[in-house]
Amino acid sequence: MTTELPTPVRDSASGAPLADPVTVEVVRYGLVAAAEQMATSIERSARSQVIREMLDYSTALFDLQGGIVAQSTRIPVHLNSMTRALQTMLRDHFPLDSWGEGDIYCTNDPYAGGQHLPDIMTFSLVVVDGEPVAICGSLGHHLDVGGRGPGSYGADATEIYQEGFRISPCLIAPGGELNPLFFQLLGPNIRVPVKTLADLQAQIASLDIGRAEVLRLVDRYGADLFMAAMTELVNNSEQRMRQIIASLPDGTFTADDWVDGDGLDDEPVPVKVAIHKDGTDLVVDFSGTAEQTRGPINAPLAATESSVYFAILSMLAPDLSSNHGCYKPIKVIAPPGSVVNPVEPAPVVGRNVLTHRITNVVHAALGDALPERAVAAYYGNSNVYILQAKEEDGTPNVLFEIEVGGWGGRPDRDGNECLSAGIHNLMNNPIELVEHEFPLRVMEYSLRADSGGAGRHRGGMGIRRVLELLEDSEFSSQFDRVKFPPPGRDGGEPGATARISVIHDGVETELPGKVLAYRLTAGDRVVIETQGGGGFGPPSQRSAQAVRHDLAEGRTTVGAARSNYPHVEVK
Amino acid sequence: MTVSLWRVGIDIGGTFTDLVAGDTVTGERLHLKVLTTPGNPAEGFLEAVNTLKQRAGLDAGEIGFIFHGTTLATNAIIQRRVAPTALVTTEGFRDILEIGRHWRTDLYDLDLERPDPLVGRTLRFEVAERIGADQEVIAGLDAASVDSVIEQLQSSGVKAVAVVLLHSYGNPAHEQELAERLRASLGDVYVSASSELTREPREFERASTTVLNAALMPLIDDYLSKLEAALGDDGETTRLYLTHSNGGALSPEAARSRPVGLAQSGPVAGVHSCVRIGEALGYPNVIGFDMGGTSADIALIEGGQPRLTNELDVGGLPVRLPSVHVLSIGAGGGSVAWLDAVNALRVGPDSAGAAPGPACYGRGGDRPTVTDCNLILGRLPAEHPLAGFLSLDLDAAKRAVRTIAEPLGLSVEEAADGVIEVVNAGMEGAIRVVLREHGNDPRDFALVAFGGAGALHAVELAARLAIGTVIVPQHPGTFSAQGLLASDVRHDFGLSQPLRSDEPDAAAKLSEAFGELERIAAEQLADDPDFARDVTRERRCEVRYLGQAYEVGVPIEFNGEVDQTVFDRLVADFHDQHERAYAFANRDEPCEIRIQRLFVTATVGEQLAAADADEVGERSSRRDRVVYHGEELDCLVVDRSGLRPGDEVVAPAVVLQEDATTFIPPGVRAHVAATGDLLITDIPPA
Repeated sequence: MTTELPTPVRDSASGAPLADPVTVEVVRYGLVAAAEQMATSIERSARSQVIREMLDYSTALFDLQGGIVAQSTRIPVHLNSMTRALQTMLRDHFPLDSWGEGDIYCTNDPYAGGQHLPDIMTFSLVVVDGEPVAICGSLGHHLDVGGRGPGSYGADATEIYQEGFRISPCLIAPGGELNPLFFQLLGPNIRVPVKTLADLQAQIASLDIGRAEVLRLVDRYGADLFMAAMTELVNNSEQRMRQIIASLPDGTFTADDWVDGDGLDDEPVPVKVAIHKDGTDLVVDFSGTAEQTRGPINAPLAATESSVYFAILSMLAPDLSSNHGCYKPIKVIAPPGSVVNPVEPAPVVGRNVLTHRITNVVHAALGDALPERAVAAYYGNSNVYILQAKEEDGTPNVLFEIEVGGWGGRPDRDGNECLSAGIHNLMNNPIELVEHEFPLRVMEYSLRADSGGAGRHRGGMGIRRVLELLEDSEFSSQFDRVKFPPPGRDGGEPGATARISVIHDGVETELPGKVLAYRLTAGDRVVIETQGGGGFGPPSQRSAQAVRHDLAEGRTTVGAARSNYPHVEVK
Repeated sequence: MTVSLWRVGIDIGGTFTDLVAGDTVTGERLHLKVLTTPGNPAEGFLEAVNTLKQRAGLDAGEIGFIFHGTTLATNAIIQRRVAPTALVTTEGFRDILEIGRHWRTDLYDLDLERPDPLVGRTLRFEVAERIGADQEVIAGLDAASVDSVIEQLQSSGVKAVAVVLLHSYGNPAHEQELAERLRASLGDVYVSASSELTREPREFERASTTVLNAALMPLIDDYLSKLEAALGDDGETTRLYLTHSNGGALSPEAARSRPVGLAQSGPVAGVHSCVRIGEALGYPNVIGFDMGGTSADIALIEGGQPRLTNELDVGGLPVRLPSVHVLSIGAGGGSVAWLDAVNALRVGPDSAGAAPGPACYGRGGDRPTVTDCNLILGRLPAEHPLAGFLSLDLDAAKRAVRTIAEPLGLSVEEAADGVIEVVNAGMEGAIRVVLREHGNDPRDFALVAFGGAGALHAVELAARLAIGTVIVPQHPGTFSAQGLLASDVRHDFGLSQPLRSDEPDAAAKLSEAFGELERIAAEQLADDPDFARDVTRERRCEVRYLGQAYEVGVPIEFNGEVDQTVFDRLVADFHDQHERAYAFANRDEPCEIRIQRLFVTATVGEQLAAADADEVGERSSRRDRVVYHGEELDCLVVDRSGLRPGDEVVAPAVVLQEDATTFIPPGVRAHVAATGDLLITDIPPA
């Protein structure tokens, strides 16, 4: 099956493209600057650490069909993630002709194109002289939207109804005037409403900034030329993506891997992918992947697609100007009722367990097609943990953290130590701020020796963090790769698995990766160790110099060096 | 004999060392350039000073002040050419420097390497101690672990040590005790403690800043010693100052203990010049636009004050000290235009640089650049040699641009026009984003264009930003060094005493915080002769809504105490600024004053009177053709040296001078101000 290359918009009389290459490029700059300004304003004015330090938000501009044209992506899993929600909204709920100037629409529904309930999306139409020209959108991962677990991470949820406040596509601000009912309904259903509502306000305000910026562009070029330029931008990206795909060898490339389990049933969850390359198309087929799980690790289709797009772009076209044209040649087959396309009411809050694994397997499969770009697996999970204590007045105090780990080894170099990889990208919380905001003391935050998988180019190191609780608290987590380590590649060894333990009265107890509201008393310590990356190439090919350097720096221990690299003499 | 006292500015760049001097008695000015001596920049510095003495017939003792901007510290950090440095942290935290904030700078790049942390793991040490978030001592500084670290440091061969303990921004007792022990035990090893530099939380950023400071101490001490030796006898009477990233000047003593303050020293000189030219011409809000061969530097000046940022990064490493905000964009005369695989037109980030340079330089470059396009469009006249010696080859430029014009079905002129449009749009976008960060509207600013290419693009860029006025200084080539002449000595003090606007006695508490800042300032400046006389004070609060990560800097003015009226004004100003920046404000909500800042500025020596316009040369002009938005126009080509104050230049026009060319498109007005600077006004928004 080969798809025709797209035809650019052309003037019917002269046959010339309506938008010339200069205007197309200039409009692209303008749209990117608009999305960036929206993002800057959210980052600077947001309240919760999820948004302000972890940068878990995105802003974007769409054409009138809901296709994404420009995006400021702070986190790859948001890549194109608003598209499915917006298109569902336009198709099933609010057709474009019902949108008025200034109206703000909102949803977080994973069964209406969303990813999980904490991701609230808002949209607003740009109108010029009564005619719609584009749509602005913003997405924020909110600190808490209610449900059975703090941070809305109910690790033992079995239905979406337990996961928090679900917002079906709705009009929350007719003409820009926020309907007070919306906050009145949402507020009492969520923990820490002050921060969350303020973040929503920042997110909504960014739509105004986006609209003003688009209006300026339309003012300069006229609505027709502006819209033709958007079309051309999308066509260019599609054409470029097809050229890149065409350069891959024909064939089918497969990979599989495992998720530890869903946190309820201790059954390993297989994830299988077969990527068929045919002409200028890629079909990414997840047939054979596990059925949807009882516990909340299911990835709604929008999340599965975003991670496929990210994995493919990072392997094939890291510099491509990203818009929905890039995604047209990619077809995702995700069987309904599977863990990569669950049906209602499957719980989904921990969908990142799956999206990381999808990225791992797509990277692994494409590595066979493109060996010079191949990578061993990175740590492969958003290692979320949440602590909840009580303020003096009884209200909950919630700390939300995500730990990262090591990158996989690469054909020409080691993996990075402890650096965000794959479908998320986030900042840690400064310890000096955390200790101000939550009753705990961090005792250690360091690189975890021997965690990188051995290899010619070893995997990067994970981290080790030790916390001491100053007050009674509850601990919840969403770890994975506690059982199945990040695989190595081409003879490289796997990285270390993650590990969580609690020390109470001097006795250390290991916890499973996924726990809900584990009770801790003041004085308890929690020890968190994250995954190292997989190694690349046989360890026997690692240079003696590299092994000795790691030893001198304490990145590996003498015992591990001797057993992994017997060809190197170690004193 | 008339005693004259000269003020001298010296700006050492990659190629040239620029010197600008002014006689505070007669107002006489002198500009000169010598070649930079990269191996030992002090040599070029001395040559420039000697050339000045010769030309102006000066004796020792007649140079009162030298203000010096240098990229030495910046380059040393970027190239990691610093002395072996160690870091000592609280037990359990030696890796914070390497882990950093663990986010990556590019989302899609699987080949990404994290920046080298400057101190390897074997040189990162830990001491047992602990101070809590509320400044309380949880575990005292353990003497045995200090002894052990000292022993290891003694045998490590390091030249400098950074000390960063958790929560030292609130309670620096352990850190200072440790630093004293290290200084007493390690002889000539340089020691820098984080609390001596900054009193703000966020351990990684504070550690990065302190490590950079320690690592630069040996280098800067050595450099200053060379300069002092080079000045010889003059050193007795000449006072030397270095340009600080915050826009002020640092005495050599201060620079030796806080060399990380030089991390942004280079570009600050140009920002100074923008402040002065704005003052002289009555534009308190200006955007500095310095476009050269490979990049364009953008700076914001509002109300006569350069915009500061707390988020400076040098070579991928954060420096968390208030620094003049200069945004560098990869757009310059050498930026290469190219077609991607689907024939979309792109410009940059590749640059032909100086070698091989644009195709029209005739030095082997064959890719089309922005400079080639300016030449084709007649904005750079072919017969006018660049920088006075470089002849431009129009045919070579056309050949290069044809390689992109033909696949697009455009004429060479149309393609060149398009390239200029694209590069301007890229700069427009970057400027809009940086203005948004600071909550500014471009329409409130004038644009000051300098650098080799600034004035070629300035008017069209201004039009895109709806900026009505462009200023082209009389000497765009030595503009940066001129700003140094008017340097003031300035110190910043910051304190983190968070308080909420709705807490009882908030105004009194803020008053106390500023009182504490005054005490810290008085202590640090007690022995500094520059601050023995009149100083000016500016105060600012960093304010945010509860839970936000970024503060809005709000100026606060008062005499004596902060009373309720002053306090209420501060809060109201905060809401206003927040609304301007982020499109909303919650006026009923309390806010949080996180950080209090005091800036103390002292002038040194006599200031120079504003420069008069240069003596004018022969009037010289002719007519030529220029291409503007697809149209070929008849235009005036005029020599800048022949222009007199009050002259009108009729647009469209090209104004030539040795180190820069100005393009004045049709539809605007241009005249020469009394200062000799060119003012382009009435620019219609594009």
